Amino acid sequence: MKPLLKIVDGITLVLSILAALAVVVMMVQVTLDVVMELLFNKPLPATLTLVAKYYMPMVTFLPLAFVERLNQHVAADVVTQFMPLGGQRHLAGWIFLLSALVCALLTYATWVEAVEKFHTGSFSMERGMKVLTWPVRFAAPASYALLTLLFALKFIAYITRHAVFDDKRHPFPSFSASGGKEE
Amino acid sequence: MTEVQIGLAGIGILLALIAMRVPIAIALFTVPFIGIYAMFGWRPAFGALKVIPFDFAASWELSSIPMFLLMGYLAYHSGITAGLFDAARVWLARLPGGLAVASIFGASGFAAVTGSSVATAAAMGRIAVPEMLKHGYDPRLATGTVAAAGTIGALIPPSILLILYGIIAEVPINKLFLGGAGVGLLSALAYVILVIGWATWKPEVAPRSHEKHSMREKFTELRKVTPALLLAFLVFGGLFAGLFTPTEAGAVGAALCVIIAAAQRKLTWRNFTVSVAEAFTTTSALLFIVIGANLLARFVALSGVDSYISDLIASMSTSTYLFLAGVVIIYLILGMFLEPTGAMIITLPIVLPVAATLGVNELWFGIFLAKLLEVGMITPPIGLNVFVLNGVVGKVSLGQIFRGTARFIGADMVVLLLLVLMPGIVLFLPNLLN
Repeated sequence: MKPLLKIVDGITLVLSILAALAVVVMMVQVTLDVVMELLFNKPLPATLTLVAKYYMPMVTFLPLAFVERLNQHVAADVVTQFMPLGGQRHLAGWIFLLSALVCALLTYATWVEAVEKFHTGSFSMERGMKVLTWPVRFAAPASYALLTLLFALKFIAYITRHAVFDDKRHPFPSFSASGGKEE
Repeated sequence: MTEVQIGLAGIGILLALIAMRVPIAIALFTVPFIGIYAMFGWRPAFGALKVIPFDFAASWELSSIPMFLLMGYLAYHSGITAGLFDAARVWLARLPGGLAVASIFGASGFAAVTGSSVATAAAMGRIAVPEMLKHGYDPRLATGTVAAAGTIGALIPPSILLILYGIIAEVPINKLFLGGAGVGLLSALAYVILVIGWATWKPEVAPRSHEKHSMREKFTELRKVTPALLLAFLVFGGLFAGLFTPTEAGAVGAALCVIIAAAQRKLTWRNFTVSVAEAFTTTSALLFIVIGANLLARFVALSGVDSYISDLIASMSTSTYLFLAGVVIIYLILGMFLEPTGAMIITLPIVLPVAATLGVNELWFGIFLAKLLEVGMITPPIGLNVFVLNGVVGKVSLGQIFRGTARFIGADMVVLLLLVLMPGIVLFLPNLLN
């Protein structure tokens, strides 16, 4: 169980670093675009396309498993909080299974779409410049697949009563304010 | 089952799943998929799952969300917003309830660089509440003020809630921001009046301060927050002057934060990476839900539930006021259980068409909803701002904070009533843009 989670965490970290780069590059490129346009009337090429078709999908999809690893996907615990703790645990366990199934379906659907776009070689045009857009399509199935895996692991941990997810320390210290010591 | 019945059943199941603590995004993918499958079979259902996630995420409009989030987190983590309370304090301390009034001003300033109500409440909770308690303020007043003042964060631009509304309802975001600014300031004013009234009526809840500050001191404190004020001025000045799009405003704001923090030698690698991580975490969690809601909107439209509900309401009464009264009740209840963005995103597919049928102004309606949903941040049982404050402050119980927010909820009701009676409060500023 633990080695498996380590692998998932490793991939999660890589995808999150890519998402972080997308955020930073978006900030820098959009700012430069504005500055160049204001000062020299010469905007950076393809900014709109890159932001919309590359950086946004990256920021949207790549951190999905990271968010789940920090238990930050939004859920309402207003009703369940009144249930006995054991009941809450069982409910949460089976919800992991539902979540894994839904994410598996999403993985399959976005994968089929990405492969189709790959075969048609989809691209965008901006001011006469051609930008290939199919590669980033794979960010969606890749991220949903990783999220599926994480939900599946959480479900297995629940079934086998494995304590691997009980560790409250931040799994990605480089992205935590305290350096991962006291979360 | 007819399609409308499937639609209504779907909405019921959706609410049940959410109540069972299924992640909202997962519930939002499950129900519409099964619903569309039940109505039209595999192809349209699977087709929606194939196309919607990427096509929705790959959007220029949405990109303002990570940029404004990054700006807010950078400003907070690098301490650009740290002096806001102190600056307000030296100017306002001598008013009745002066420290509480200062925390409202501090929150308004903080709100101008961050788009989140929780972040505003947490930031002010860390700084202002301990100061007030130290000076003998009633804990209910101290925490109630800050919990309520936090809600200004989602009204004064940038506001993630308003950006999302703008994208879903197709209302220009800069106009929403101007409308939100008006209502945010009105709310701040209402809170200030309430605090001064409370402290005058019952002086023991807020012992008068005898601290004296020289003019020199006052201007020194003001100078410390100049970067934060300048940041807000440049970003929103540029946006409202039509110089920037919202994405550009956010990106330039974030870049300015980096420059300011570097100049003040407060930019550390950790501050930077944590801010970036918070920006992508929040964006990803939010858009996971928004994409699901997009699927829900398709399901609702296909099943005809939206027009069914519109007709139903229209057959009962065509009074806009009655509709709004219904909206207030429904959203106050929803707001008790769901956080604002989630509550707004899952209900807009149903509520917007009804509002449109009745001819409610979309811009006004967005601001009205945002204000209404923010009230839910300070009402029991799930008032997120109250929870956050309880965590940050530590020694004041949830019950005490909720007792503190009760009066502010009253003030919010007055503000909501004013918005209904005088829509001009919302529309005046945005109309100047025309």
